[in-house]
Amino acid sequence: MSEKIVLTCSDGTEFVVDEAVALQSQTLKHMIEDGCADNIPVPNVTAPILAKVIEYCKRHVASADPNDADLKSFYEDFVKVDQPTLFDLILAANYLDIKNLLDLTCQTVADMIKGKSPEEIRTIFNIKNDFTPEEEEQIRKDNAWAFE
Amino acid sequence: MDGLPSPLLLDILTRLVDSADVARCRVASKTLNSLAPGIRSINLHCSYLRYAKSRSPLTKSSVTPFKQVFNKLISEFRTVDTVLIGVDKPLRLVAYEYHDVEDDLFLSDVAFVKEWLPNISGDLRSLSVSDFWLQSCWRRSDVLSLISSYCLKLLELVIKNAWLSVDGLTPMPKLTTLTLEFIRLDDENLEKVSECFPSLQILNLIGVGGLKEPMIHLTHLRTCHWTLSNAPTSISIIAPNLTNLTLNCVKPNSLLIDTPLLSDLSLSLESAHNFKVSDFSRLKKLHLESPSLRNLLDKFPVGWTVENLTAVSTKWEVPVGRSKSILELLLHGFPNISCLTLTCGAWAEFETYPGFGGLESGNQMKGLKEIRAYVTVNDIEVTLSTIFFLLDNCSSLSNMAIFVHHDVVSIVTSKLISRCMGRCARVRWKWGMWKEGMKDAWISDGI
Repeated sequence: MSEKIVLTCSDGTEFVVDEAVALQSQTLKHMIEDGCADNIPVPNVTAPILAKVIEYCKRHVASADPNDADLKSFYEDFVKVDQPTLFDLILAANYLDIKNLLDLTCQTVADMIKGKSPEEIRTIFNIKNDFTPEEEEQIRKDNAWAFE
Repeated sequence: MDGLPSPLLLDILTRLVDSADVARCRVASKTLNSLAPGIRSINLHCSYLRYAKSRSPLTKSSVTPFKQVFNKLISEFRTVDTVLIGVDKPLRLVAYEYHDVEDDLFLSDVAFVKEWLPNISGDLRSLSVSDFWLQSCWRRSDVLSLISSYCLKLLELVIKNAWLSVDGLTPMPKLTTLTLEFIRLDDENLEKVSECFPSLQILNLIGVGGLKEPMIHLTHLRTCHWTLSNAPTSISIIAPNLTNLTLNCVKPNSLLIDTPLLSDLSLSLESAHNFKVSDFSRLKKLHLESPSLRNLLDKFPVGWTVENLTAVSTKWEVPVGRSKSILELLLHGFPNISCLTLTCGAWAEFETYPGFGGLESGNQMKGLKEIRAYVTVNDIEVTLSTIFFLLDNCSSLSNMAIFVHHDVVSIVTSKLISRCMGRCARVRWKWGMWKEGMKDAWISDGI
């Protein structure tokens, strides 16, 4: 009979998962090994994000064969989310220390940046242009070759 | 990036393969700009577009010289463990329209490499230089000597499209992977290579010219990919730990393959006067390609351990007199195969000359579990009868994959599929299409 672990997310919602699923996270693994397995709080992660992370971990417990074509298409669909969700997944994967989820989500962002202009990059990262006009002119000059 | 801490931003920046993308990120925000020097790899390449712009009188002045860009870039990074610098593949095809005496893209130029290599060599693990053939083919480079004296921690080296000398090359005992592609190498018997790169585990020599009687003698080599022209007169590989070998040559006078632990071999050979191969007691997978496959099979030792065999016959003739069919020869040479692939030439020969199906091959056919065939269907009845012959005699057959040539009319293909699947339901059928120069494509996973 597989052990069940209860995870409580930031708004109090509880998620019950198999131990094997929880062990995909190194952070949770350490806590389980240290004995606090009953009800683990995950305060930095909201319910919808935790639900997605659990979906990922469940799939991985089922099969992590890199040659599996189904797994590849699962990955592709998994990251088809809006930008805020993608970033929240990165933060969650980082906090929970799930290496392959972190690789997948960070790689997705890197792939999005490929070939984009600075303006488009700012949109991807949801950041403002924090250079003064003089600074921007200088930095553009320094990196002019990338725009030739 | 409200919310993404610097280490994660750096992780993402590090994944950017192209240094031009990193440069554009630097222009996007102060944070990204300050994190960028923490990236440990540089990848700068010159696209065909950039090259064309640098040569056109209209746009020439707006293009920063490539070497200047690289030098500036490399000076901004604290620690560099990977450097990739090169010209894009299409530039290999730039025609000799004029004699290019410029050296702006001569990347294996020692004078250029000396400007930056010593500064970053301390941590350098991987170096790749793809030179511009038009400018490098007539300029002999001592860059190997320079690399060997500075890059003591280098693990991987790739050089393409250059003329390399081995003068002054000193041993690099840490190097485990070496790729030389489209190179003129002044080390005609590969003596210096074997001597100075003793710890190589992966060696790729693709289109390396200037060789006479090359011998690869490397104790730790595990994987080797070697393609040679017909110039070398004798070819030898002595590698006691080699497990994977791909060797493409033409008609050397003598060929020696001494690799007792080999498990995966892909050999393309027309013929060799002296052909010596070690007893392949671990060989599991074999791909044999030749315009005279029968002769090659004759000289090949019996492979008891081979399970997966692919036979490629690029030129065939119906044998004269009483001879075994190509299938019988293959089964005789490799009695324990369970998976057999017959590409177009081999299949066509078998269709035309099915032989006599002797008792011996009958037993061996019972061991075949999977067959793949590349067919052209010149006469559907002949193709069908050949397929049915296999179905009837290979009692253990569970998988049959047939690739039909792209140019075969679809009505014929459909007829072929329905008659095959109607004939034998126990086998799992897979159907695909093939064409010279194109990747195989599956049509359906037949039910």
